[in-house]
Amino acid sequence: MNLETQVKSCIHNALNIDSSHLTLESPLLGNYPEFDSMGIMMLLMEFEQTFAIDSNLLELSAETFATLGALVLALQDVCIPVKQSA
Amino acid sequence: MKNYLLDKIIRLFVWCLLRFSRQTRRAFAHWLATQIFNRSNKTRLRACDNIAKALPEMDEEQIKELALTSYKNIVFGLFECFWLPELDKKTKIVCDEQTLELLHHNNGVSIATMHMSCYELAPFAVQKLLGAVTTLSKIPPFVRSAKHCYQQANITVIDKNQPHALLSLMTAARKKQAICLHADHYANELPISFFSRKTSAPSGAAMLSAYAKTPLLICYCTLKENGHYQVVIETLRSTPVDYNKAAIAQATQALYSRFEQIIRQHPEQWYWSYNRWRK
Repeated sequence: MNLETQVKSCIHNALNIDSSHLTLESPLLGNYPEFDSMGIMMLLMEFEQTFAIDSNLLELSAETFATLGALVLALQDVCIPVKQSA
Repeated sequence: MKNYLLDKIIRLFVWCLLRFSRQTRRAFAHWLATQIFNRSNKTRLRACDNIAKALPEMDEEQIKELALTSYKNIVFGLFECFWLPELDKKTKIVCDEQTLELLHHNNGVSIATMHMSCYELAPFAVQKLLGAVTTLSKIPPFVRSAKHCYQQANITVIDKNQPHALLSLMTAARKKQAICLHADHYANELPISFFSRKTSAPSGAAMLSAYAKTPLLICYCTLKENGHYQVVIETLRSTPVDYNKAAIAQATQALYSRFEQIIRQHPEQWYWSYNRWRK
């Protein structure tokens, strides 16, 4: 499963959003009411469990959550070093 | 333009108030509160209704008296938020050893605060102990100068109205800062029971404890007979809330159970006229 598919799966699991139609250009933050305080926190939890990462390593900015593509890129930076050490 | 003018008027109003003694300001706040209470059906009826349902042992006369007294305290407390540094010597901070240790651990804390009396004294007291504190506040666009009041009190405020305020808050939590969040207002986030009535609550304080892995504290302020304030900081959880939805919900309910005890102890200090139990 590639990273984009995994991230979409996390969004679905954490926020109960139908992510099957999302593309890398799809806007997230501000586009879905589920992306509120609880939602973002749940998503970070899901990322921690799915990718075995410390979500503190993920840059917390509006740009990170702006689109699916931005979120995938941000996770790529965090996940790759973990994979290398494993 | 309208907001700019309103802000200027409010600044002028505060400036005029500061020309008078604190005793006079208090008398004026009480007079104003009484006028609003008597003229605004919504304010009066909502406060009386909330008290009647929360404290059914009270009779009608007692309810009305409590509603008015609490409203006077809240209005005066709100006024005093505009000159927090002046209250420095009139504020006593009460905190047990364990809580003090948690605060000074420099590992960050998540502090749930309540709308009681001069409620912004809560973050002010925390910054007095720690040198720094961050809070979240919905600053109305017509009171932009409120940011200046926070700055004067050495409180870092994140405006809830600004885009992505939550991300700024999480960044502050990540940096292990002490974060004060009002937690006793209505928010359609987590179902809880409060004074035996079902309602919803914000998850912020418990969530930040889970996210930043910090202890969860409670802080509230009461006005004493001598006109001085007491700010109590206590520990709800010395260990972080577990990082899952169920634990956050449980911790939020625990907060509200404790809020209820505090309000029962000091019913004349809480903001009863707020629409807390909305449908």
